[in-house]
Amino acid sequence: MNDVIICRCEGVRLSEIEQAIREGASAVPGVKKRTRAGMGPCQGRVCQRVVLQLLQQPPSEAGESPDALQRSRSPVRPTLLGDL
Amino acid sequence: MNDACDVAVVGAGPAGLVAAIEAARAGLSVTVVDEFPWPGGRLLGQLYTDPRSHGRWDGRKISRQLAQEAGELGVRILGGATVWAVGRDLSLELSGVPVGTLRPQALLLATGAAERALPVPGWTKPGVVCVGAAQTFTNVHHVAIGRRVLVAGIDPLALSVAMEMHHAGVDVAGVVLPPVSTTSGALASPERAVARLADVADLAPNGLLRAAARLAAGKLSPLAVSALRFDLVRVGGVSIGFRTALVAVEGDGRVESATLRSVAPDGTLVGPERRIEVDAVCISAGLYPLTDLAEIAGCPMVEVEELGGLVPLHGPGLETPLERLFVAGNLTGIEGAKVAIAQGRQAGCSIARSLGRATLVSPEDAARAVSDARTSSPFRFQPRIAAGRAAMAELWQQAIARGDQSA
Ligand SMILES: Cc1cc2nc3c(=O)[nH]c(=O)nc-3n(C[C@H](O)[C@H](O)[C@H](O)COP(=O)(O)OP(=O)(O)OC[C@H]3O[C@@H](n4cnc5c(N)ncnc54)[C@H](O)[C@@H]3O)c2cc1C
Ligand code: FES
Repeated sequence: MNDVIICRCEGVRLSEIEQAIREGASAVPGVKKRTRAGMGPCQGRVCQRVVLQLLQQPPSEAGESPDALQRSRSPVRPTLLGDL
Repeated sequence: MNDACDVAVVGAGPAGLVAAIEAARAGLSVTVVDEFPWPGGRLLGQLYTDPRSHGRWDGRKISRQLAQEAGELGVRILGGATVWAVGRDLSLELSGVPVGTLRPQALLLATGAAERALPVPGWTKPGVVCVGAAQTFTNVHHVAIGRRVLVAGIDPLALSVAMEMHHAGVDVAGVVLPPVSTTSGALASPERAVARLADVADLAPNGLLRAAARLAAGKLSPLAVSALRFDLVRVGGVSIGFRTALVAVEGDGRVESATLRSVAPDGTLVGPERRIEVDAVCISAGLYPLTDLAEIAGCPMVEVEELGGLVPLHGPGLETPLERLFVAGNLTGIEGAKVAIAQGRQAGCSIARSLGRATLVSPEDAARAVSDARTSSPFRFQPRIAAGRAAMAELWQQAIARGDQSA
């Protein structure tokens, strides 16, 4: 019950993200590569800031620095193949 | 199909629409694109009494007026058009409309803000909605998100939406602190919640309550908060539980109840759990600038916590280090709609000047209008917004000194 879903798009739970952090992930992209959190249709719009907060326990000076977050990539929204 | 225009604007919110109007007034051809079918952005959900302007703030009406004014000036508004990429030449790739690529001379990004999520056990059940969705359901679609609703998150937006739902006839079971967890951090402290009351005090519907809210917010020092015997304060007919937090949402397939616990002044959970029956839970955890397009356009990003997190680096006229790329509205920092409107005007003038056109409004007047709008806003989303704007001005000066500015 306490193992709450953090990434809704990819169904990634808190325990999986904590595991990724124990394995050495130090920024959002590292967690993403290990767990798929942030790879869903919303491209991390929902989960990315939460993952960052989990990485920064206790909260650190680094804050939401560009290096700590994943980079936006195009297409930034779900797009029909026909429009590409 | 490819398409050329002088100016492209992404986002038909208040910032984008007003900028389009200003640029069109200067004689430029302007296209505004928005992924939502109707123009207005977050304005569409806004409906409340604004005591400072002695009237009702009706966002839908303002949206209609702005869209009409833009139309009369020849601005083309493409609704239902999603921008999925921005090229280094400022070209826009669109999806959802027959126009495939827009090739403007200058580009304004006015993409607004996104909501922060706040995971709590059960938050993926149908019936749990974020505060923006609750606002849109209530004020745009006139649909109640539930019969009995709990609001989690004590901040200006949550309080205002709670009152809007209450006025619309929804039984608001209360507004409580967000869950105490590793992910909510400072959000769940009673002290901070009381402080945020000051930021919304002007919205309380009558003078007495306004005074009470200001008193609660101004006079309650942290010490007084810890001595707070009572948990509940009523503002505008809605109970606010400064010492109560949401810990879980339950239900078989959909929301049926919420579990609450008391919170000690230091933010730790104390006492037994209690369960209340609700069929919807509305969660508010704050907003952050939606920077995705600015990032892929190649604009440098900087973190300014007081503005809401990561924002594109920009100058006093809303220009960016990239030539002919401008930013405005919530993308530059989380503030109310009045500020977005004033910023839109400023950006529109800056764009016109960058393309060699004269404008009626001087850069100084446009900048002054933005700070006036800030002072007269009934909302304060970020408590230290002025410090954030000053920090950005400083970062911009440093960037110019380093020579990264192309303009
Ligand atoms: C949930 C929520 C509630 C708010 N409530 C209030 C309130 O009650 N009072 C108040 O004063 N302020 C409120 N605000 C702040 C509000 O954002 C400002 O008042 C104002 O609307 C900001 O204007 P803007 O033009 O910057 O952005 P917005 O009004 O947010 O408009 C941005 C537009 O950009 C579009 N867009 C973004 N990305 C793309 C893309 N890739 N392609 C196409 N279109 C795109 C969006 O569809 C949107 O219409 C709220 C904000 C949010 C997020
Ligand atoms: S919630 Fe994680 S990618 Fe959408």
